[in-house]
Amino acid sequence: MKKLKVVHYINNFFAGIGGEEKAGISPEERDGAVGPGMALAQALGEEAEIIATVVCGDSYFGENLASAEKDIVAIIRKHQPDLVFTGPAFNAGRYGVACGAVAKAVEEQLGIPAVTGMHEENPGVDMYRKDLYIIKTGHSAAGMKKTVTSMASLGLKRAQNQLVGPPEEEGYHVRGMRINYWAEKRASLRAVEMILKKVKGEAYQTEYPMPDFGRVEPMPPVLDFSKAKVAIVTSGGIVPTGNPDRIESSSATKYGIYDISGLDSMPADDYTSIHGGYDRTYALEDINRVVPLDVMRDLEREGIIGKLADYFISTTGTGTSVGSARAFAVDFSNKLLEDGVNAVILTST
Amino acid sequence: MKLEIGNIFIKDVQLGQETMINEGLLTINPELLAAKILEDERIKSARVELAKPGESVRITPVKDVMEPRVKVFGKGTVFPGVAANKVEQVGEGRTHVLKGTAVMTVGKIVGFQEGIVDMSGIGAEYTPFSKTLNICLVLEPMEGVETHAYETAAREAGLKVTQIIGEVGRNMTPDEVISYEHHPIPHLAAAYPHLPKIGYVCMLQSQGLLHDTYVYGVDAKKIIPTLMSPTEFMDGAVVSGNCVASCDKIPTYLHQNDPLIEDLYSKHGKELNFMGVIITNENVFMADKERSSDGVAKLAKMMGLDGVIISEEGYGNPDTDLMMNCRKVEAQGIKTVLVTDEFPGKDGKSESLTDAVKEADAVVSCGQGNLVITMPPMERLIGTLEDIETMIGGYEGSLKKDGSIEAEIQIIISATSAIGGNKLAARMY
Amino acid sequence: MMILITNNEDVVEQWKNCRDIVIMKRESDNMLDVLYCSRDLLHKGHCLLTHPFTGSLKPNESPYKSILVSETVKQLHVDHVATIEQCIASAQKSLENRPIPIYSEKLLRDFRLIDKDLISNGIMRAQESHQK
Repeated sequence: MKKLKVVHYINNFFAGIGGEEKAGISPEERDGAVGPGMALAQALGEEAEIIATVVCGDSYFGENLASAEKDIVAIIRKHQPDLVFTGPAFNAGRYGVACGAVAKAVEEQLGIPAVTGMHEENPGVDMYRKDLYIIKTGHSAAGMKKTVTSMASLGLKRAQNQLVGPPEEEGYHVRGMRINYWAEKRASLRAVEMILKKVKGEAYQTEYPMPDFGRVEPMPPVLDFSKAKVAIVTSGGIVPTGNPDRIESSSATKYGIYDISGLDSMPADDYTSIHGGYDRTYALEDINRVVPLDVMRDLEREGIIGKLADYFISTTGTGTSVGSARAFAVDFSNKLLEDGVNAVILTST
Repeated sequence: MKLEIGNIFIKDVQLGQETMINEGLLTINPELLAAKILEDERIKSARVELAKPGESVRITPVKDVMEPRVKVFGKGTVFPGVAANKVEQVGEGRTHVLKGTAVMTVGKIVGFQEGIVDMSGIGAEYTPFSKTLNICLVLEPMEGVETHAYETAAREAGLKVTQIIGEVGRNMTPDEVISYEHHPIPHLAAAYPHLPKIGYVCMLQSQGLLHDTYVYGVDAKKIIPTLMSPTEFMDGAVVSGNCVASCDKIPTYLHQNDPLIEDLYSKHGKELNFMGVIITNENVFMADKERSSDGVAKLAKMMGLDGVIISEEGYGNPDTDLMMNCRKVEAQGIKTVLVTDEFPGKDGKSESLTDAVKEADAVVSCGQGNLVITMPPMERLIGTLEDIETMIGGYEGSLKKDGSIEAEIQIIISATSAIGGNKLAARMY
Repeated sequence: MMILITNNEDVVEQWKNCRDIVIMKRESDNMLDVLYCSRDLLHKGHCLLTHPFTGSLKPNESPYKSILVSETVKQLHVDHVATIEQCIASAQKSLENRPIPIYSEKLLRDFRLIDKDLISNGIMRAQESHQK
């Protein structure tokens, strides 16, 4: 049987080009397998061969989503592979988003099966689980061998048009697709057995997990704004020029707190936007468009709000996992409460 | 209360002069039955055709499916309060069943409703009625008859004929007799004090034309939740007027043969104490939903239940009733299991239900109705194919030139009825 | 008083002379516009009197939809807003999967009939219970 042709996509770090300082490199290609591609090639065995590896810097991808994807797809198309692997990205957020985007583009635009791998907290999982087979991985590259073995196995099945089993068997993240099958017992009997388990406090498995609507109970309204202390919080990625805290342009792993005491308006020279998910032209012209300091000062002067906090809090929303965002907010809410803040204006982009 | 069900196993059915059963062979006189149907002036024509398991036969559009039964002794008749039957409490005594047969009403009411029963091929795998000997009544409305009136006429025709056929079993010795007991609640509680008290909440479709159910002849839109003995269902106290979405409708046959009632009874006195059935409805008026779900929770509490299984009929609007019932019953400290079918779209990726509550943590799936299959052409047709493409589950191009039908399984009668009688289920991939 | 949002001319014809109903007639060939219009009212504090997904006909099957909403405005009814938003999401997905086919006038009449019957049941119930 003919050996299947495989192309592998990885980032600057796994290609051995360099760390964060090389995250800005544009797409390039290498012959054969590179870095983790070696372990992947071994797992693929005789059935497939990695003919090329495409490499791209995570920051470059995050800041040039459309063009990077286009260029990478063009390189892959050139090789006419039977199968594509991206990553695995483990828990690296920007890398996960890139792996997901490339895999999805390959499936949709080239009609070639693609498989990737990520940890469940990687924002790429929630973004792409419905579109892709994403093998479940551990936190870090310590689990590389086991991960590429699962990726290889699933990839080969797909490339050979074999039936893909359910998530628990094949090791991929639940995609959220409801597929019919014939159970051994009829539904009414399964219902009777389930109610008995539930009533007796025994473990049971629901056949249809309810969607998580993530409802947040709203706080009661502020009764008198003229006495309230208000703070601005943004996910628009506004930071002091130079980005001293090195907040990422996507898949942020941190937030920053920046002093605005004495300022009536956001000075365009001292602040910038590092957010990779929107066209920054208009934000850079006037930072108040994302952090509305000028308007808030007007409200403060007019007595409509009591006082504006001396700082604003900022992070990047795009590609940032729900878990991370929640964790940031839990953290800085403590400070807001200590400083007597009653209400927050949240700006997003 | 005790009801003895006497099953007379019917192995074959044929048309003939006499109406009788002889060694498992049921003979019926089609002319007599057609004449009976045509006593109703709203019906223009009526024809009886037979369809047997394994035959290359397609039946469409199917309205209701009913099982021939007869009340041998005990109060009342089968189908009390409908088709000119007196209203009397049923569920006691002895009822004979022509087991293995079903009567189907076939023919259009409006252009888009009901669906298909294939007696062989892949379509047959999805419907319970490919396994019954089907006596099909193919009906046509008289010109100018208003839709509501014709729906009633067709429904009554089916019930009348089913009753006439059932009558044949009155003096026969059944092949098996199964006893179903249902006692007053304090008696049940005392009889099995250590077994979990389980109730069955049966939700009935009740929205309007072609979306109705009748309980002792009362339109289910008008009821407030009430208590019923499971044996009342076996005597046809609940009759279907629902014929829009084929796959999850609960035809009269399934009310008579409710799988949840059967399975709860099979464990009654051994693993659980089957305390009874609470029926409720699925009205369009929001305040009615609140009233009904409050009533369900209250009755469950008054019955002293530890847990309930809730079935539903339909999609969309009924999903809201299902969730309200779940939330309010759980709020009483009573555990729930929900039985439902799903519509996650062709790719299986959308939300399966239109409503959800976090208390619904124990759900049994009857499969997803959006799966597309291709049913092979059949040699014989009972009814008409002209509306296939506008039936729910069908679409432009569904009916192929060679007679095969490519459609969502939504188009198949009772493929996913959320009462749990099939083995079809869906899982997460 | 109640507000009846509908794209079904038979519904308008049936209820136009009813004193306790204000009709908002929408011109659209699927139910999305009726859903959006109802949602906008719910955001302003009106509440649902009938469920948006009456009937077993899916959003990509029947073009018609009628929804009854209260005229009076109270505090935002969060559950009703959640219901209409879920119905909208479901309808959008349904129509994306497959749009409504072109039907014959006879079939459209049948769809209008069913929608009219279902909403009329709801309206009569609302009138009986003096809902506002």
